[in-house]
Amino acid sequence: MAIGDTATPVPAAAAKLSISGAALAALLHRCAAAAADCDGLLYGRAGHVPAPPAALSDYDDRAAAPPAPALSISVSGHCSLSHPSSLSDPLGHFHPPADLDSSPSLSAVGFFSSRRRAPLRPSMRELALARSLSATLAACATHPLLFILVSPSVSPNLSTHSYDYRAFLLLGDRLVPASLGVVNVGPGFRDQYHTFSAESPMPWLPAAPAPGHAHSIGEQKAVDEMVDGFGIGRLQGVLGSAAGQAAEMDGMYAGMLRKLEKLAREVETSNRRVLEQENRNLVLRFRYAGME
Amino acid sequence: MSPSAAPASTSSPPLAPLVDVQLKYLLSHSKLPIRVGQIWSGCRNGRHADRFTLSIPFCLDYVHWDFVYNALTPKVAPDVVFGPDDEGFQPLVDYAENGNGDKSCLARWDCRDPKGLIALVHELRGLYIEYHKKRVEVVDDARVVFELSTVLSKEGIEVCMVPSADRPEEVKFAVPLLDLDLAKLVPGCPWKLPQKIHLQVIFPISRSSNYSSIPSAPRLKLISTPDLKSLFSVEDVKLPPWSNGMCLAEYLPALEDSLNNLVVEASASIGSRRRFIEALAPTFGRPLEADPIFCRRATILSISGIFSFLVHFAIPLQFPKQQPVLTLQSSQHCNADGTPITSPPINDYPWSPRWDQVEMVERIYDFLTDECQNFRKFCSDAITPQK
Repeated sequence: MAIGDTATPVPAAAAKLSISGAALAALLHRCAAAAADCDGLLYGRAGHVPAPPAALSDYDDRAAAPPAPALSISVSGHCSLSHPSSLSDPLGHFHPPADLDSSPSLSAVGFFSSRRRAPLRPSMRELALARSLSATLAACATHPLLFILVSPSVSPNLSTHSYDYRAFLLLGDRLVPASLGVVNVGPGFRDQYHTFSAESPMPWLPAAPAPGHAHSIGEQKAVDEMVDGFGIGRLQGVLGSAAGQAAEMDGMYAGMLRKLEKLAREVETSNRRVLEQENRNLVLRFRYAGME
Repeated sequence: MSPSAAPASTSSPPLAPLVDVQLKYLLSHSKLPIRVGQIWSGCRNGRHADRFTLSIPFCLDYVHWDFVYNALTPKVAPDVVFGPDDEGFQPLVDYAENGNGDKSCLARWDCRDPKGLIALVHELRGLYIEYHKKRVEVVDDARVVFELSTVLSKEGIEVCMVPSADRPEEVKFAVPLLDLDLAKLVPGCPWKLPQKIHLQVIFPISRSSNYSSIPSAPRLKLISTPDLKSLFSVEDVKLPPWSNGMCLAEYLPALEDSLNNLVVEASASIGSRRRFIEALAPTFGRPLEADPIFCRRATILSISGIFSFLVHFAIPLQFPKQQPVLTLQSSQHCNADGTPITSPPINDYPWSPRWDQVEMVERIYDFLTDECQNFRKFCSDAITPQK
């Protein structure tokens, strides 16, 4: 069995969908916390999982055919403006929100949509968006578009919150329901991690300058990105010495932690400002809709 | 069945004002008997309802679509979730493929326009009818293909596939009959919506492979809009027989002719019922109540000695061929629940459709003179056990 070429639709059964527990929790939290409905893009990785090696057997009379590599799409995160129909116009044409990066589509594997207490069937606009997004995304040339529909609901006395969700794959012109596995940590999920391979490059480190030349300002800035106020000369020293001066290393690590702490504080303040602004917007929208 | 039926759930929060205006406009201005089902809220605080289910008439049945607005982001156009069987109905995808999306009312959605929803519903219903026509057109059955080619041009016709798990598939035609405004036949007609009579035709599909066998006759049924029942009952119409090898285009003209006569007769029957009610007055005194438009009921007060009682006349559609049904109601005797005692319906008194209205009334008067004594005894017997 050869891997079909990219034009043939992959049957839903052959595609293995998964989402990490943390990513699912974040997604459901986003859907539940939004004041109204919301939608957004899903990011992750898609690839062909090599089939697990055939189990060792004492009987080699059964010449098992080598299992075909299955398509796997795993979702690792999402991006959303907490706003309904933020990805499309009223007719379901995909248009990236202005605030998102101009190339959000590069690594997106699909999108999600949250509709409170609505049936778990794709709506007419979601279907149109799926078709339009699939034509836009480069990644969708190799795998079908993934769509997760979430329907959060709350019981009238607020005692029970339910989060129904269903995953779909765009096969042909239909969104076909597919099962979505949740990946957690533990031996049961080892397969998932065995197939992982890092894609990010090694962190950039300055090369030793040619004699007589100082480090450029750009290089110094790049180091400051990682550790504030850690001179490039000191970094060079750490790299250069075979002994690996422990104290210098400690100093660099502490500097990195300080930098992280500072970033966390900044995020905290900006989040608070965003929340304040969102509440102001909500009041304005209430007024616009005549619901004061 | 009122077109503006009250929402089923009374506990739902009020609709967001902008949505409410559009829904009210739809219910009061649509020529279709659209009904509102459930109404609910999609806001986190649940204070304003902004989504609802509409039951939209299609092919003599209803389809139920969920309209999803967002109260908190009023400028966003609503989205629609169709029924579970309508996966293939993808109006927005078709717009994108044909590049004519700017025709859609969604392309210039204005949340402050009260006509937004009615335009959307009618646009989607039109596309839905076309979608089903296309589905039926690809059916592999020579007869259905022929029928489609001859009657599909008839205005207002709707067709659909009838899904069924255990039987072979069928195609349903809903053919509107009698291109006349029935409301004009009734003076002072109270109908809000246009009334129509449809012929429902269900063709069993026989795959073209067996040409030899003669296709079986379709199942035929007349269906009328509910308000029409007070003028004309389609259940009483005997359909002309469907002979072998017949087609709809042959069948319809004869049916429409006979139906036309029946409808004209039915509207003439209103006049004779009216004259009957008018003839009651000299003998029984002025009726307490009478149906002034369809003249189907009248109630008079009558006295025999010291016994006073009401007589309810229920006048059938086939009057004067069928006699009115009388019900006597005592105004002096109540049963244990406190409701007045009434007689069983009486329709076996002397009657001839050839009498004129005055004679009819006099004969009924004579009959009641005796009957009221029986009824008085019936009433006394009914309350005796309490004493």
